[in-house]
Amino acid sequence: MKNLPRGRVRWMRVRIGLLALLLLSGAGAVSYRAYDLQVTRAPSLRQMAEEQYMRDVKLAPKRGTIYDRHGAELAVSVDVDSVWANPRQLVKNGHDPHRVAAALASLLGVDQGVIARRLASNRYFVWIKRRVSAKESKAVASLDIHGISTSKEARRFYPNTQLAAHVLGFANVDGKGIEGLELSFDDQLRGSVDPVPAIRDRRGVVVYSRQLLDDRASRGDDLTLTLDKTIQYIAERELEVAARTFEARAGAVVVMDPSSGELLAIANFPTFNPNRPGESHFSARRNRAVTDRFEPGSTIKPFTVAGALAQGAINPRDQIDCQQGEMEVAEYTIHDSHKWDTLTPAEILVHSSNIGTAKIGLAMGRPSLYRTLRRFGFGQKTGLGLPGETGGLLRHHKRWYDMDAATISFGQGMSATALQLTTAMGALANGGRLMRPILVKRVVDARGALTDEALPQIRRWVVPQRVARLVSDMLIGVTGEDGTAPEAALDGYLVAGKTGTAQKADYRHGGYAEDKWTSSFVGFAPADDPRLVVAVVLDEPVIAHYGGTVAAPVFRRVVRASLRHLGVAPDSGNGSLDEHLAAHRKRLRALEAAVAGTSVDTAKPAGDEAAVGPDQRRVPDLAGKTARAALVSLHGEGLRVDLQGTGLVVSQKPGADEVVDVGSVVRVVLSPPTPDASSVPDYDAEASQLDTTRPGAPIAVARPSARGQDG
Amino acid sequence: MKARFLALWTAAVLAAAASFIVHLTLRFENVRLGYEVGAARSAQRELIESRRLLALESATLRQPDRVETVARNTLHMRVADAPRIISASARGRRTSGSAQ
Repeated sequence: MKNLPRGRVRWMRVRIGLLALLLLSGAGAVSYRAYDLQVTRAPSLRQMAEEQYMRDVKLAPKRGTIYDRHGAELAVSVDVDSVWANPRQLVKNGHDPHRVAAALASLLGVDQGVIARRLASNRYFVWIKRRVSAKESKAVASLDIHGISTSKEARRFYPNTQLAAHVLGFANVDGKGIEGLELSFDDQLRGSVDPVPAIRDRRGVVVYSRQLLDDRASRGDDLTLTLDKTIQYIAERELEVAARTFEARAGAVVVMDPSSGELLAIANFPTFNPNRPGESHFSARRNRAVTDRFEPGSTIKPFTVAGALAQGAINPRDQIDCQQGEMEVAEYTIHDSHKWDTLTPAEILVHSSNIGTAKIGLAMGRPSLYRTLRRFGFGQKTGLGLPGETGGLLRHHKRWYDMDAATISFGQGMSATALQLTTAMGALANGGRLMRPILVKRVVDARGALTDEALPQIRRWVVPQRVARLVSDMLIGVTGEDGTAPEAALDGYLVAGKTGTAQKADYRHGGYAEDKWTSSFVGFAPADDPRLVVAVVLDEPVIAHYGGTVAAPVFRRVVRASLRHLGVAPDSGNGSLDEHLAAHRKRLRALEAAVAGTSVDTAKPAGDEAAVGPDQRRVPDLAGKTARAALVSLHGEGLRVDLQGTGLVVSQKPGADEVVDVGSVVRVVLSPPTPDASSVPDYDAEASQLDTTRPGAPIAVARPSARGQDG
Repeated sequence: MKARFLALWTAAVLAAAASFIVHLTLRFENVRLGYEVGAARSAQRELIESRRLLALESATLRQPDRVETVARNTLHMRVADAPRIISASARGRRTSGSAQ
């Protein structure tokens, strides 16, 4: 550069400067562009990019499961295959649609013409048959026809078939609730159907999606009902037997826990299989316990009497003139089934006197009678949430005719549902507290989080507790020998209840039909500590029509089996147990001695006698015994038991032959027996030892008011 | 000066190439893991579905009428009448638990 002329050097420097400027400008432009892309426009560009590789994936959410109160599945959704076709692909692959239709028709049992018509279309997708069995799916796959495929779809199953069908309802093929809880809780059960973004590759396969990793959010909630599967089964079984025996058109049974308002069973007849709802008549799918109202007849009388007692319109000791079975009200005559002179309120209930109740109703006055029945929940829905629930009919007292105060007091001129009768009787059983009936106990989402829980709720105090108890005591007489429902009595339990035998209204000719009846019974047991309220309603029984004959036996069977299931021991099983066992042991020793040909020697060695005081007992050896045998042995010695585990006794404390005070607790540990034939207890022998059919064997002690044996 | 510039240049090129390779590797690994997660999820779904099917089968086998039929006909069981019932708990009904 030094040898170059000055002018040329300057020019070179200018050129270098220009080049540097150019390069800097280029670099600046690149930097600006980079900044623009990476910072300024980054969000919109990222979105554009995501749109290229992200696709919305629609989840197929599964309906939530419905459980009974003990967690037994009542409605479950599982994935099954559905067969579909791509008619265009079939044609492209050179398949003859008619031949394919014939093959599919024979495998799937679908009409060949229907399949052929679908395959003849110019579409990319047609259903062939949805929700096929695993066998059908395998058979279709074995055909290996390109253009015929299967995909998974959720199908609703009701594993107990008809059990609680009316309560559960059913969902259609698209997973939408149609009836029952499936309908009323459809939003919770169905879950979310919102699409979620997922990365797919060029073949459409989902590569990754954060939401898809945990699809529980889209799954439906699980419902836990208050129903008890076993009690529901008992109620349905007994209802069906009664309906068929008495040739009734329909019927309903409702079972409730009066202290909480939880419904343990809602049974209806006729019934249907929710797995195949289309095969049943629509009338068989009606939940009659909540949708059908009927004139309750005499089952209303306890509420009239309770209201009158609470109001002070009558006194429990009042003698009410029943006018020898006939009473004129307005231009009508009210009759009693028997001619009574005077009756107390308790006797009015026991004999179900219409005239006595009418006089009580008239003494109360229209507004008071109306308010009483309203307070018991008549004329309004219970708020259970089942579709189609009716509140029955109870006109406002200002619109009553002259004789309504008399007839409504004994259940004519108004209507109610079986559910209303149950909740109302529950109020009497529960010391005057009317509970809100509960059917859905808990709603839990797919992650196990509790979203809703129904707690016992008192709707109102209907009558004072002393009045409720008094009426309950009166109702015990109904199941006594003089009452209208001795068939409802149970050995070992006090039963309170009321029969109802109501003629049905004749809508064609007016008045009441001569040969159509509604037979009912509503009651609770044990009356001294109510665990169950049960209402039984049979519509148009033919063979007999009295509530005490038709409905009361159903009540008895349902209550007896349900109390047994709930572990409520009968009084006779507890009260005189020690005496029973002592007698049994004596008899057993005598029998053993007789077999051995020796006399009974109950004397013990002198040394032993000396060691055991009068208030002391020697602990028997329980090793290898069953729980039952251990209980019998210890109760026989006047000792209490603390049982732990199941199976056979493996240890006990205090040990065998130790001397303890009467009433001491013996801890007994049981363990399942090993599969060794010698260790298997002889249950038959044990049963024969306790055979109560032998002379002198302990028998149930029936209460004086109870009568009636199993039918 | 020249050698230093060349070394720096080479280092820059190698670093750029290395970062490109790392980026590609991470990208491929990401996709591979995505497929693995998808497969695992698919297997998980199948297991959950199998469990559901088994629960359904179990519920079907525990139908009350079936249980009753088996108990009465196969096992020759019968309902205990009142005198045969021995309560292990103290007197009082409310203390009795519910049985399934």
